[in-house]
Amino acid sequence: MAYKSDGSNLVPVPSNAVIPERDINDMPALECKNLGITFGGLHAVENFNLTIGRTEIAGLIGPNGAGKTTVFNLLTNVYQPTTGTILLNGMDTHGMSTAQVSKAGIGRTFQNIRLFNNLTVEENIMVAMDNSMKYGLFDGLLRLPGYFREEKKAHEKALELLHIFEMENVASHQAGSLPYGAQRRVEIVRALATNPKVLLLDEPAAGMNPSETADLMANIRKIRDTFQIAVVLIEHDMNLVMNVCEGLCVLNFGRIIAKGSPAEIQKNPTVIEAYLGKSHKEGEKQMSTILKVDDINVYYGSIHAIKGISFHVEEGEIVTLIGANGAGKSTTLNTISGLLRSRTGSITLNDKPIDHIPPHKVVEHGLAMCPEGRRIFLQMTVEENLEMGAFTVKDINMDAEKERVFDLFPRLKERRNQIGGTLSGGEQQMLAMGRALMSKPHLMMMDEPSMGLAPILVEQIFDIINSLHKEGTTILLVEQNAQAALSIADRGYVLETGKIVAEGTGAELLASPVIKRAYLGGEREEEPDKEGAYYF
Amino acid sequence: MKRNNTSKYVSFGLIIAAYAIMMILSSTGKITRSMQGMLVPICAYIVMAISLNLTVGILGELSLGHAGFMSMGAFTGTCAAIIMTESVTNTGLRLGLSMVIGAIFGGIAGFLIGIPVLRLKGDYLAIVTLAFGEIIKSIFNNLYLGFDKYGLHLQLLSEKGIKLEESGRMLIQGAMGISKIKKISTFTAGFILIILTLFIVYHLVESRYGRAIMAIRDNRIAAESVGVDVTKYKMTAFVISAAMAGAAGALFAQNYSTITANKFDFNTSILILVLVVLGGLGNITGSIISATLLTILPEALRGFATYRMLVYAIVLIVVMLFTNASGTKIMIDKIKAKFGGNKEEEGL
Repeated sequence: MAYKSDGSNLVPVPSNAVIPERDINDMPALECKNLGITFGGLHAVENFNLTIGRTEIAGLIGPNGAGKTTVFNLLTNVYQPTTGTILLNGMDTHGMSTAQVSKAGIGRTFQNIRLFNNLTVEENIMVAMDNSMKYGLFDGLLRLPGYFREEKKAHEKALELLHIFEMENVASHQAGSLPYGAQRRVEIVRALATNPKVLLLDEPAAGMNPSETADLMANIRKIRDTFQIAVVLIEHDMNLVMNVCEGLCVLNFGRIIAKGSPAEIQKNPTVIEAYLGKSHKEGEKQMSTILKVDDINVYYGSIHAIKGISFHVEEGEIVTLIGANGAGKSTTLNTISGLLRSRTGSITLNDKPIDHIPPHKVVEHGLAMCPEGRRIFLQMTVEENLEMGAFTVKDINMDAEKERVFDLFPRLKERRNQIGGTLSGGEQQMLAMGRALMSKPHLMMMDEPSMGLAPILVEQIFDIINSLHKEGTTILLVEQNAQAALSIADRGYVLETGKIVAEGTGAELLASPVIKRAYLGGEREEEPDKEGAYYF
Repeated sequence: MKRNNTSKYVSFGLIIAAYAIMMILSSTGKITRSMQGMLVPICAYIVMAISLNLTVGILGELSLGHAGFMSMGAFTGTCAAIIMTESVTNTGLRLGLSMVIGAIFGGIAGFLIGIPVLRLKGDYLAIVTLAFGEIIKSIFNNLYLGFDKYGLHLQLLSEKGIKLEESGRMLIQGAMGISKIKKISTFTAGFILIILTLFIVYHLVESRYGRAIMAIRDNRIAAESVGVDVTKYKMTAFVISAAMAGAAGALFAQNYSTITANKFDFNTSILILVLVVLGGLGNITGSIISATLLTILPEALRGFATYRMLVYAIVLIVVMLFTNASGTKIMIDKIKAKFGGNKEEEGL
């Protein structure tokens, strides 16, 4: 059931509510009716009803794992929906291939940029015009006049489209060699080159710096005005969402929890709770420093992913790193565990430097990692998985350690002989945590332990983290679910675009308006041209 | 797009220069007999390498059965040439027609195999092409084909059922293959075939077909999302690649008096793949150079007698390491930056 906020209360709305009521007289550009998809029993998206006006800019927001990208994949027929229909300009797209949907008028970009890296920027765009080019294979091989005519036309149109972002000067550059922000823009231009009626943008501002984001906002409006098309965007940058979108739809656990104008959504208590949540957490203790990270800078090729981060974790603490997708949380953990290297600064574990030793040696120093997406050994039994966790540790009583883990996770004991791949998502998460504990770590790092889990399981996982904490395990926790993480954490750091922008105790951060804004977007800024203004 | 052009001119330049030098040398009699004998196989392998590079480097799908298409072209093209012996007396024209027929049959085989194979991805596709290559080999090993004034007589497994007129002759005799072939392949024909192949590949790559094919290689999901019909373009590339292999097969076969299906086995497919990988995926000029060097190398190493293949393998390993190790790559990039800096600027 869909809801609409009515001041402070949520009232049920008819299933095809238009957000906002713009262009309702025309046939809508896109209509989803009761859309749903199930992945192996998990309802990734359920009862999704949405109508997009012909020239509307709509936003799809919600926590990580809420099903936003799944909706895009359903709209472009990458996935076939389990239930429901999609009407594009009144035409049912059921049974079409992704390529046919593109021809029918849906253009999209991707969360993880998917450019044709070895082609030039111009070629990338010309590939998208392929369907409107009218020469055959033999015209191309024999270079008949049709070839030159059509190629020239496509070339001119590509430059025209690149002009939107003033990128004509990089037309002949290899797409993969462009900086991150430019790659995102090329992807948008490429999607536009298919002549879409609806443009889907999946996190267009991810990895962009504040001034690039500001340009992007202006350009999204410009694109809509110039091409008279509908734009639907998924974004974590609430400043962008609140300023650009005319209608918003909030997803959580695959369901729409609210629809409405940005102003309505910002005040909606259900939305605030789904993103952030209630509050509270007791006092703190201080002992010796287990982990000290000092001024690290990490690059992915030309992307400056981590920009001078410093923080520390004391013995027995739970410290959490929170922030939007792409803020650099996982990168930080991977740098600590030695999978990535920092160009500057130092990382010490129990006062020993660990920033220049290989990842498997880092484990021997007493650091265990519980990676994002769990990464258990799918073909091994539960017991074998646990044994792998203590693989590098000498002088260990394997059976005693296993028993200790089984005490913490009775469920795993029941399933000790089951193959890892057959466990449910929650059980796999427990197994990943159990495996990390097997090496008796001084510090346990967890990357998004609640990702992809149902609410009830999320609660269980956090209970377990809490009990590990009471046992005295030191934990560094990375979470998208900021509310849950901060409510059990002693201290937290807030990351944004590779920098720490706030720190404090869990309770302080929970209560801070800064966090609320970082996650839910602020009111329109008075001075948007000031760099810092875009952070909160 | 300047980048493509440079490599294009280098490729054409190399081939034309090599042809000119060889023609001058052979007219002055300064060329050894063994070298003379290798000219046609070198041409055939260059075409094979370019054609496989289209599948592996440009389309981005690993094919382990490319020799199968070569074999298809070799057998059909040679049979056609034998049948045409009397009707087409000009050997050059007959060779040309036989290469065209080889290419057509190679293309048909590519299309038929492509239907199931191109639905697969990555490793699976590679394994299935391997199987198809072996199937083509087995078929020709068990195929008996005779020809007389009543037409073609085809029989599998044994030749007992084939009764020919007096003037008729057996074309394919199972595992014995085709014998008494007239050696009509010439270096000039090989040269023309390479030039044609280069034209086709470069023109393909610079057309919307080539762009779509490379887009599929770089990111299939994104290609679909902009409306590229993946199956159609994959098939186009695969069929063109198979047809070129067929033409090369017809050229190759008619350089020998006998040809058997075992000549085009898995080892040959791998050898061609080695040529492509050594020359660089997607690098046509590289394919030409590596095909030439690796065909000459075993001959050049004759002096090592029994250790020939060992030395060959070691040379291969060293070259692969040298061209692909990250250290040397950085060095090569630095050299390029020093000398090629101006070119880059021009492209901006």
